Amino acid sequence: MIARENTRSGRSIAIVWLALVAGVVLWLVVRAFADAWRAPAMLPQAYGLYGWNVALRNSLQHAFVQSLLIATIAALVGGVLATSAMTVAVRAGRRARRLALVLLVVPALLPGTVVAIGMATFATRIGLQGSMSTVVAVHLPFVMAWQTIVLLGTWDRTLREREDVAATLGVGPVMRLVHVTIPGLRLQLVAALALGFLVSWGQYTTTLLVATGADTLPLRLVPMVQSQPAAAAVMTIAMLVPALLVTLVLRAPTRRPS
Amino acid sequence: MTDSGIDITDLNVMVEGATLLNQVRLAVARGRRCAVVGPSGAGKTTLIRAIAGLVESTGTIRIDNRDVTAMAPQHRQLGVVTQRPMLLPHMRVIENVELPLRARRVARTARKRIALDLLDLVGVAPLADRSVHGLSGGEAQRVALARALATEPRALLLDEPLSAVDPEARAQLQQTIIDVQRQSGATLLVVTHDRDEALALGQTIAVMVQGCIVAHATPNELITTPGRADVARLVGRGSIIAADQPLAGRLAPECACPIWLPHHAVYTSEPASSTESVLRLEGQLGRSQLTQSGFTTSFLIGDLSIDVVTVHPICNEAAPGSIWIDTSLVSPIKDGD
Repeated sequence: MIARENTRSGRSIAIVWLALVAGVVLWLVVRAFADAWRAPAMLPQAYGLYGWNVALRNSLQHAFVQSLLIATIAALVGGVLATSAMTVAVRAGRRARRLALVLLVVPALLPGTVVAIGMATFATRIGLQGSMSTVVAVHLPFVMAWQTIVLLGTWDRTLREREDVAATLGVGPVMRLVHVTIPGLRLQLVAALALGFLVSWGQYTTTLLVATGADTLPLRLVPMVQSQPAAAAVMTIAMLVPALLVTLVLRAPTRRPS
Repeated sequence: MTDSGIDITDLNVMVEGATLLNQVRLAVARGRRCAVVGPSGAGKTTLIRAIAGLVESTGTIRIDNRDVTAMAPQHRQLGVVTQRPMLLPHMRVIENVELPLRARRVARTARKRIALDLLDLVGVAPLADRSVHGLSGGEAQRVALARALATEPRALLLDEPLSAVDPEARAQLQQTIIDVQRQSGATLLVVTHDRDEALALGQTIAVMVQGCIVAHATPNELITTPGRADVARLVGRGSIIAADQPLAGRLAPECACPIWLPHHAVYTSEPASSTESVLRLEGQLGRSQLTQSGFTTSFLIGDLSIDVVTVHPICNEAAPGSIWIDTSLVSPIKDGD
């Protein structure tokens, strides 16, 4: 009885949440096709492709591809680094493990702007500015922090025991990683990669501060919010597409085996 | 050089300031089976992990006269089976057994043949193509055993291998372990907290208490002359009775035939010499002589007859004067005596 009530409440909350998200997306779609929409009207006065034309005239494609590349590289590099760090941390002593984890997740715990300004100042001091690798580098602490949070607690006792038993069976570290650790962490790794991608994909402040002349979607989008709201809506939809694709494409391996 | 399968000298393990193993010394002859028995927290699993190289340790570990102390786990050539089988869930049964062979770069066809032979050896060949999901505890443990054998181990280390197996399958698996060990010729070290399991599997039994091996002998030696109260409690079939405690009702639990003694019977131990002990039961004095199996005394008290009681003074600092009574050697009260 209690389980049925809980299921019903959970379903209601999910429906309300989905309705909110769908409402926002729907508003964006309407805004993207609104050539004229003056307040306080509830609906646009004129529909058209003005926003799309402005967005495309501003080489939206270039910024899109750049953002895609940066987010993909940041997610992959962050995933490898976070996984490696966690592999070492889970087998370290309690104090060392705690210290390592705090260091890894601290960018996610501190105010984003503070970390971004710190990163930007540091990058400027060491002469890194403007390149794509710089943008990836400054995204990495945020990406890794969230990936670490996702991976935290996934090296449970069972996985560690499986790794240990594999070692006693003569299986070396690389083969262990491929045949034991990665399959054992598959779901969490997929989630970490997806989250890492999305964290990098949405970065604005860090990119703005370090990458003079860099071309990413958030950098293009923010200035247009006030001046070109229709084009900004188009770019927001463009930003949503990969995020949705990542979620859909990565959903397959997270399905439970039958 | 002795023909030791497993030879451990002064093995210490400390984790975050806690001593888990303390100067452990243990030698198991090549091709023999040794069961390490001890209470929970005694350090049994740590011992297995240290031998396997999974935990940092000091001291010396030799397997087949080869010093493996500094070797990485994957180079020690051991077969380890843990309490839970730890099969890889994304692989089929046969793929799990093939894994150590893949690590040794054995060719595919040979790999498959060996894996099937090993599965056949442990009695689960028909399950080769099954997913590991849905295997029973006993089946999974057999697969884990086959996988451990695929390393052609110099020593097999089993950590509570039967604890997750139902009682019916337990006896069969015990026999399988013994058969497999005999056939492979590997030295076997099995740790357990279960005395009966230790007695069934071990040709020798090592008793582990608080990170130390406190006794290592054949089962018969440990049962009849445990030497220490903790060893007696873990391995013996009898009762430890403090010298000044009433004996009534204390002998029966593990004796096949119940023994009854009057409630007011008082059992005292008055050591006379290293070879002689004096016992007082219900006012009757009995002089015990040290025999091959311990101190032997005969009593006849009223209509009760205790034909033979074998007792050993227990070396127990906590309870000096306590005696060990091997209830298996106490004869039942005879009607009509």
